[in-house]
Amino acid sequence: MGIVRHTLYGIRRTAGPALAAACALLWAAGAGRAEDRENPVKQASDYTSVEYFDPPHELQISSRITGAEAIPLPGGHETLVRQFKLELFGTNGLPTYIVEAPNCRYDEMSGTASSPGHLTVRSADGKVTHEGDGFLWRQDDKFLTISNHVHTVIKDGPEIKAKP
Amino acid sequence: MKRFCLILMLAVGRLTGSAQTHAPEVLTVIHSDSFAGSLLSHHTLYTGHVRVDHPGMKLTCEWATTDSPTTNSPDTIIVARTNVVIDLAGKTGTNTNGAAGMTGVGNQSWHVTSDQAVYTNHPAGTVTNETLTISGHAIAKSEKETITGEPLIYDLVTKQFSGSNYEMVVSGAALPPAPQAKTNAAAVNTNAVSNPH
Repeated sequence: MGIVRHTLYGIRRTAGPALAAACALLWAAGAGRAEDRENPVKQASDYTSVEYFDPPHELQISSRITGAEAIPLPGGHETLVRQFKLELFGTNGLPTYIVEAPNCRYDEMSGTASSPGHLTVRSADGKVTHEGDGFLWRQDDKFLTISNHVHTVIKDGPEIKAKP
Repeated sequence: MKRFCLILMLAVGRLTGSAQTHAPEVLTVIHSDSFAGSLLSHHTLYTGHVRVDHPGMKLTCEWATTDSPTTNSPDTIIVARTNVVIDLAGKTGTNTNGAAGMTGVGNQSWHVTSDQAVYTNHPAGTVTNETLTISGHAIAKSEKETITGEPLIYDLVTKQFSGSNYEMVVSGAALPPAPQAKTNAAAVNTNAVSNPH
């Protein structure tokens, strides 16, 4: 995670002046196209943040946050993540829960993700789903709070095992 | 003769119907104002206008906790607290274990009030056990009967009540005849369980 965020801000610090100079040259040459003039500083695509288990499972991913787009917010701690997706894994490497939200503010310092918008949570085995509006996710203890309009579906029953 | 034996076997099968039966997947839907829970422990808390919709019952309460099924722990446990109101779906004719025309409590709809109710779904292999343990001023009323018990236990598969200190009053006539007719007061919630929030 630290690596990802560092990279994001690294782009802003180092690429900004160079890009401005490049744009100025292109403008001067009259060859600038619309896509060249877009400022890459304000957004990054394919955002990913990965957290690993403590030893002895330090090689296993415990959670992975991904987003189609990430925009660093003023203040430097928070990132607006669009198409937020959080995946939790067990120490066996198998996924346990998938959390998704259209938008989310992710605070790396506090290890929290929050949004006033809609949220869906589903267990990887499909037995449990939660939905609601407005949420706070605490990464440290994997604790989720949903503020409004909670709707949970629990599918349970006998295990039907296919015959060999 | 063969026909008679077949009918007899079917009748015995119905009479020996137990809490265990082959059952399809059960969908339980929970609505509430808010939710808090750990996705590690699968233990969650629902608060505010909690409503549980289940094929065999509709339950409302002020707050509830759940333990969701997982691969390692397939049981579903819902503990409903404070001002618990349950409407148990009655069924005339065939009930969930196929006992057509079963008489008794299985044919009736019940309105239940209590301080607490614990729903447990314990799937074992291809068999499902679903029970509801109702305690704290537990009263179950149907059109003609009133049942009290501490606790009252309702089997959602066979649709039958059991329990400790179990007493049933049928239209003013107690069964079995009791020295004094019991009139159950309206449920008053004295549950002092504090909301963990």
